Amino acid sequence: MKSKIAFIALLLCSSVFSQVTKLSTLSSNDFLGSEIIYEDNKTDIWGYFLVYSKNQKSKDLFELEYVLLDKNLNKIASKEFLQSRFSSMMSVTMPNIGYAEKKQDAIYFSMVNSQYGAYFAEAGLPWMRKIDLKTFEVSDQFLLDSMVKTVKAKKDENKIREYKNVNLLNPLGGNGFMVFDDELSSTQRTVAFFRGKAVPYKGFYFYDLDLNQKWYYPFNQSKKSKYFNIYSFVKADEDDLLFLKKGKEDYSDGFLNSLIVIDKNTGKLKYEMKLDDSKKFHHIKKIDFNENTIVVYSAFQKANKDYYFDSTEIEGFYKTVFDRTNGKEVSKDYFIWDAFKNKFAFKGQYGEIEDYGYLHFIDFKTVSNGNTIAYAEGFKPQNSTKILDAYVMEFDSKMNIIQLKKIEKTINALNAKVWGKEIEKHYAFDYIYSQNIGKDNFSFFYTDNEKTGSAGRSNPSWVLGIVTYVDGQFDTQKITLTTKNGSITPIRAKNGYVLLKEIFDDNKNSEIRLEKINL
Amino acid sequence: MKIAQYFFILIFLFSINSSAQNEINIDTSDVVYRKTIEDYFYQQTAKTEKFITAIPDKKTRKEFGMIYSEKKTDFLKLIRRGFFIQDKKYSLMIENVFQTIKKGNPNEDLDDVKILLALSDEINASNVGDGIVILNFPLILNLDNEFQLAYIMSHEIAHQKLNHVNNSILKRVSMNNSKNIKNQTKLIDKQKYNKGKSATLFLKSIVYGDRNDSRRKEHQADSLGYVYFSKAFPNYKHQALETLKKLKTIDQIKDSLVKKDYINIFEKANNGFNVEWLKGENLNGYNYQKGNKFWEVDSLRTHPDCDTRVSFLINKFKISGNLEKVDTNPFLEIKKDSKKENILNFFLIEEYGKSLYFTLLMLKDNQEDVFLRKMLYQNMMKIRDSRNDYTLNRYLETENPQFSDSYNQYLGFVRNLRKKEIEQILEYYKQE
Repeated sequence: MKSKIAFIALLLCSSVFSQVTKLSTLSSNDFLGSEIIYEDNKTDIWGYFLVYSKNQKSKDLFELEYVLLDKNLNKIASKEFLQSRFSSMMSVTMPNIGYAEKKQDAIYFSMVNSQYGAYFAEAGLPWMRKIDLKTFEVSDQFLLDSMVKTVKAKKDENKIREYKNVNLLNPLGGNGFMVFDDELSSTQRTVAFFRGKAVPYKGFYFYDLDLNQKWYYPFNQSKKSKYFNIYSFVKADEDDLLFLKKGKEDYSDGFLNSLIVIDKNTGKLKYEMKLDDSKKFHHIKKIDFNENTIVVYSAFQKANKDYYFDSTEIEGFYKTVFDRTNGKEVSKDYFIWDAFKNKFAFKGQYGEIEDYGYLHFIDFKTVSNGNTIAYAEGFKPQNSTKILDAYVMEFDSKMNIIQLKKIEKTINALNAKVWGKEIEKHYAFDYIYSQNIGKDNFSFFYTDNEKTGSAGRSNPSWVLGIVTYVDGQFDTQKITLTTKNGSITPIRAKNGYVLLKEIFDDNKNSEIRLEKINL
Repeated sequence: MKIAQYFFILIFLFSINSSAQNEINIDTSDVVYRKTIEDYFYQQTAKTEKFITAIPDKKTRKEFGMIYSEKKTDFLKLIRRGFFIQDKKYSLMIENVFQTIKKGNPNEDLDDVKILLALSDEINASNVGDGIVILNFPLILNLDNEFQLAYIMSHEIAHQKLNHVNNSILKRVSMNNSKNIKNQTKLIDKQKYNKGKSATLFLKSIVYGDRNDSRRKEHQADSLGYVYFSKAFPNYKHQALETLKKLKTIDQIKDSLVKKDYINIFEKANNGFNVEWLKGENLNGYNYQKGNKFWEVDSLRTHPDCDTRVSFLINKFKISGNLEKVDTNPFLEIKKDSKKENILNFFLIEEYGKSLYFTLLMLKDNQEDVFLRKMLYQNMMKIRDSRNDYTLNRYLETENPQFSDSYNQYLGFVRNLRKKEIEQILEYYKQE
């Protein structure tokens, strides 16, 4: 509350000045999109990257403006740049942020042409730009020169007129890009994409952020094999790239999942870490890529001849620790549902809790003493699958349960019978994200619509739930998101904080607050 | 009524003897005074409304009327919320200075001007039209002598006598209805491409023009204000220039808190000091862009910079000679509790973060001061409550590269305290 007595200032801002207001509207920038920018090591938010459209210079050429904010939302810089867009008789798109990462003194970003902001999809091309964080200048667009033939179009426009073998850039967590190598034409690839067919890749090229090709990694898949291995990027740092490899080299090799580590600087395979064996299959939930270890949390079940992980038959969870220097297994500990028999009455060996449902584990955190913190939500699979309470628990280094805390939530229903894996895939659990909020301290965020009484059913009150693990203790708190005269939207913020955007019903005021988690 | 009761309770709590015979007292509950201002305001607005009805052009008349109505409503809200206060010491001083200005300018008819003292977090003064000049409380507290106060008052009174507020509104409204602006805007709107660029350029030209006009008005107010001032205080003409020089640095906080200060204030409350409390957000890793790329900042200033204003007055009025010696003791005596009053001012306008910061700045050298200890308690309580509600950012800023290191560290400190630690602090300081 401040005494704002500078009425002189009202003269410019008054909504009564219709012509000046109209001019203001015409000159105001349209918000196109934003991305969170993380620190280089991905441990925290560095800031925010926003893009606005300032002026349309011609049919397909725009003057855009980027704005960079620091983690406290203070403005760092802004600058204009020109951007062309894709348009045809069938569709007209607006440029949107497809990619944005920070690396040292630069922000690498790509504007794509998509109505939905999906990056590198459909008409997405491997454009990249770079913002120099010393001068704030925006580079011209640059591409994969070796794979693209560029034809400069008239005046200020750069347009790709012809290209061959243009593959999409797959980001590697701010450490470069992976471009898959195949022998298809772009048309064949596009057709395969839209038909949902897997494309047989021979390997991939690794490019640094400046799109310089560094090395090539061949998959060396046997041509006689009836099956393809699928490689998914997991994590990277300055030294290594970690991939999940799914599939089998030949039929006799019964492995489903393994992890491979490739030296980022040379492209050589360092080691492969097997997870599945003839007795157990794993479904990976979380991988921590630490300085000296790689920690893998996975659900497990009995192996089957179909090499299919059935998420209705989870027997428990493993924590496997690998030595990062050589990929050797350091420890492997697990729990089965029976570990919770003091808390729940189980039916059978697959985690069904009598008169309740199941627990689905969503997130794991490793404490420096080897303990594990886990977050799970209950669910009941039926025609109207119910999402139940939240649970947080602590396990010791051998995965023995130490403590468990239940956080009661309003039961929500989904219009289908689905299991935890599907619910999680569609973000239908209440969990939204987690943070590290200091040494061995963590927070988990969820949202819940609390319906109290008959009025509550039609007017639920949304809350943001925060579960913290601090100094070895769990605690919970809630922030009401539905207020008397408006609503609050939580936005991801720097570690230990949450950004709250409060919009008031009268639409005259809105407020953004950066609030620290109240410990 | 609720607000009045709240402030009454506050006054009761803060009527504390900080030193012999002195009280830190800001009374915001004086409903009689509020009524007086309101009555005066209605009298004045009636004159302005008459002026508006006499505007010949219908559209201009209507638009002006709408703006004025909005302005009137907003100002009445401020009156009713108790932002304008009557303080024993300062109001008397202000009135004395005003009377001196009036006596020095008997032909100017200054009787229809009213000077109000306002609670605020800004070091500022303004003329809002309708005969009203507002002096913000922090401004008074940061001046060195009553001549500085007199010149600032003279400047704002000059704005009023030159009818700058109404003239500005009239000019803007007329411009808004001008054929030229309308036609230009229509043309721009019809453009298929480069609409944004054209609108921006045109808008800039309007704003810069507006700002040029504002700066001209400031020179006029400086000029007429100087005339008022020099007639009222003929032996202290240089003080007008000194005032402008003072304004350059008036809002710089000259004091700071260091680690030792936090230890001294908080160690006992928590049976120890946690160095983690002082770990703030390090913004040094960022490189911030200098300068505003969109607007030409100088062109945007409503006031010419202070050096320009000083030069203007010297040249126009041929001010020469030596700086007069001024006895600042009476003024300083009046505002000897100004720092504490400023703390209370911030608290009353719910700037709890700033109120606490200034409390700590004083408390580090006066740890036994009852008033300061109580203000620490009161502010900390508000901060605790707002942390629980997740509304703390309304009352406490976040670190900003434009803030001093001391202030940034303080902002981090308040946020780093755990709930339990705040309760311990409250418990310790509650014992007073």
